[in-house]
Amino acid sequence: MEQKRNSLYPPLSNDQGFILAFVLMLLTVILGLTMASASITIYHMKSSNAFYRIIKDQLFAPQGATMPSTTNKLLGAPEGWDHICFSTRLTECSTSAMQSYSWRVALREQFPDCTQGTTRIAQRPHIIIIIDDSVTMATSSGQDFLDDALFAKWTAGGISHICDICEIEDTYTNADGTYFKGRWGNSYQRAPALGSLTGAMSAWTKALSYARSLFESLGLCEVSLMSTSQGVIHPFTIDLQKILEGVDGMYPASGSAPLSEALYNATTLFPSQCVSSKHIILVTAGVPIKDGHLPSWLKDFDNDGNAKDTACEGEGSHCLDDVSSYARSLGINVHIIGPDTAYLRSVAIKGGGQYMPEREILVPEQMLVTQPMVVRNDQELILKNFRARLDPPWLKTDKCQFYRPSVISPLSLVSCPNLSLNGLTHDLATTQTDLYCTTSSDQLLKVTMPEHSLTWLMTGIGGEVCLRGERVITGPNRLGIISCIGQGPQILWQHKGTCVDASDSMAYISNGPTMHAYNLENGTALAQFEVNHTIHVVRYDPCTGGVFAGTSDGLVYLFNNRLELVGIINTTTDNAIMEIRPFSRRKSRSATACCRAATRSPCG
Amino acid sequence: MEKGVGLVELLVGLACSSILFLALYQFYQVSAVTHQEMREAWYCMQSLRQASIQLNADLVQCGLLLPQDLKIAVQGSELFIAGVPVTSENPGISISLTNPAPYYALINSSVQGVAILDTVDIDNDSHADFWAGLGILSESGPCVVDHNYSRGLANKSIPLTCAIMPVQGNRAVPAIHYELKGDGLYRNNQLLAEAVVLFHPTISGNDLTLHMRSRYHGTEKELSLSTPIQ
Repeated sequence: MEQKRNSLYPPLSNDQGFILAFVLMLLTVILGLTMASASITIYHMKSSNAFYRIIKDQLFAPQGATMPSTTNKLLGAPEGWDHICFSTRLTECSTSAMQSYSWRVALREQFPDCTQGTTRIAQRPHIIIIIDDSVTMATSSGQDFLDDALFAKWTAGGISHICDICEIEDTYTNADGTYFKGRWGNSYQRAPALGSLTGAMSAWTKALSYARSLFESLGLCEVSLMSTSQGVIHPFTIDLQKILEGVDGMYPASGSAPLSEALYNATTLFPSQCVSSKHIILVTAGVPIKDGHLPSWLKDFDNDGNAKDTACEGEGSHCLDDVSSYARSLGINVHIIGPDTAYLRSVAIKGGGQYMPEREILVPEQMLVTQPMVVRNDQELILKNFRARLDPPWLKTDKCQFYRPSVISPLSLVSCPNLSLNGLTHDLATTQTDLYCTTSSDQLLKVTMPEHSLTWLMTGIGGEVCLRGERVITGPNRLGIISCIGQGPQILWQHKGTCVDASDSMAYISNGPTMHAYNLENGTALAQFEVNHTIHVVRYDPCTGGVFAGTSDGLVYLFNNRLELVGIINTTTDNAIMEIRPFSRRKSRSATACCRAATRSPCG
Repeated sequence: MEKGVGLVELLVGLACSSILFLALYQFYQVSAVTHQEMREAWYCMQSLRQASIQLNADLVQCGLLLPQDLKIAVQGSELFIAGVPVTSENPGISISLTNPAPYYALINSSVQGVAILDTVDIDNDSHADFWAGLGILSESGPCVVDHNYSRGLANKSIPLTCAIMPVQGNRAVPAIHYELKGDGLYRNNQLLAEAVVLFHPTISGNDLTLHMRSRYHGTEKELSLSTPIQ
């Protein structure tokens, strides 16, 4: 028989006791979950801490240690890259625990612009300048010289206005001529009176002073120079320096002034191609002498019925306005520079031109960019030329200092407040903050890029520009002068030359067939070498320290930095070497020499 | 009446225990075989892993600061990866503070299995970058520096083993040399992975493919790696 056994220790719980058991189980589960969550949290904290330590060790300086120091080092160009244009920038970032390097190719210098802006416009304005060099131009204009202005009496005899500021006491004479102060000129350079006109300044000086500043600004134009007595002095050219030299070489001494005949001849001189507009500028006193020998159909072309529209052996012919009308019928605008008379104004009007013309109606209107854009610190600066003049809209000129070299001491600078920007952008070089730029009118200007402001402008200094430390080497300008400019600004030295390049300590300048090496600091001559061929281009290789000289007959001379001959390369071309770009190839020095083909398009 | 263990009970108990022991032995047998197989497979994989890690490390730095047209070459089962391996005597290729990259040596002359270089210190860090057992990549093809070459900055005459000897004017860079021998895969003439029995590098277009097989007793494992040649 089955016997029911009773426990000696019966459980205390009754039916309600299960609640306690459930509570205990719930607490146990909660405790378990809590511990699991804490474990996960601790694991993640440890993991994050370890990750932070790894990152910290790699990227951050340890606490109390110095911050990472960064150094930049400029090395030579990589293999196969142009030594002059490119370099290698090595950036070293150091902490106490780690060193990292970045290595990248950097731009050292812009590639030079072989084609100047003037040749980039196929259709160019053509301008013929006719200068009346009769004795009537030497008579008084009715005005005196400005007392404090500087004038120059050229060797040929003509007098030109140079600047409103004069640095000389009375006179100063050099090979170009005699410079004098206006006050002195009013006493000693008086022009003969013409009727009631008794001022010391001649009509020639007055007209040419205006005309000369106008001619200097005729960038992008083909200009030809004529005189009433000699005919064509210089055919069409874009080289305004030749025109200005021609003007300075003239003097009013002719006994005749065939104004209408010269104007008529000028109408036949324009080419048929590559011409966008035609202009004739007549610089005259307005007194024709021995004039009017024209075809009969032309003598009264304007049908004004003037009885003086005929040839005269003395003064009196009145055919100038008729020929001016004829020129206009041919699409040629006739402008007049001279005394303010009703007759000359009517000639200008009949010729479709202006009396005392402004440059804006002569030069091309289009905007032209002749140099690459400058990019610095997120700034993109474009040196735009507008109406044949450097005129970037972002450039502030209100704080600019203007200078020109002194006529007494060319290495001294004279403040010259009446100057203005002139010419097209010719060449530029930049530092991190400054931009140095030359114009085709021999102006060197410094622009402070962060402020977009023109800091100073120096006239008479032009050509190519390169920076070597604190020095700015420019040249040759239109007179063939190469200058070294120091901060200040100041002209440190000048030498005559045709090509220039420089290392950090020496300037290499060619003059005809001779290579010269000068100390960059003071311009003293250190070495020279005669190559017996006209040197056309000089290039310094900043990686190897070598100097290359390309000649006009296709030879390339190689020198070391002391100008000792290393070798000669015959490129087997008879054309002039235009550019030399050195590079390295398999650890050997190499160079690309470029020459221009002899053939040109009809429009240059 | 007292009851003892009967014969039947004894036989049944013996049979049961025998079955239990047989089952345990079988379990042990299976475990032992599995363990052996896993150990062999681990050994094979360890060899392949060792090789692949080293290959990856070398490929990551392939052609660093060296000419980019001399990066990798394959010759049969030999692989050449441009670069200077880091050793106790050479810190590897380093940036020169005087010369820009790429760094390389030029073959000045090459006669009878000996190439004379213009320099054996291509990065100007005062450490010789060529030594015995190392590979050399040139435009003529890959070579191996013979074991009788004495390492030194002044010793620019390097005896080489090549299919095609480099010619004068060729550029030459040091290269890490992988070669399969009878007892395993060698790196710069030093045993890297002993179980490797197949090493088949191929270059296809812009990709390098490495096919490797390791064997230990009867166990074989294979691994294929592919990496772009930038």
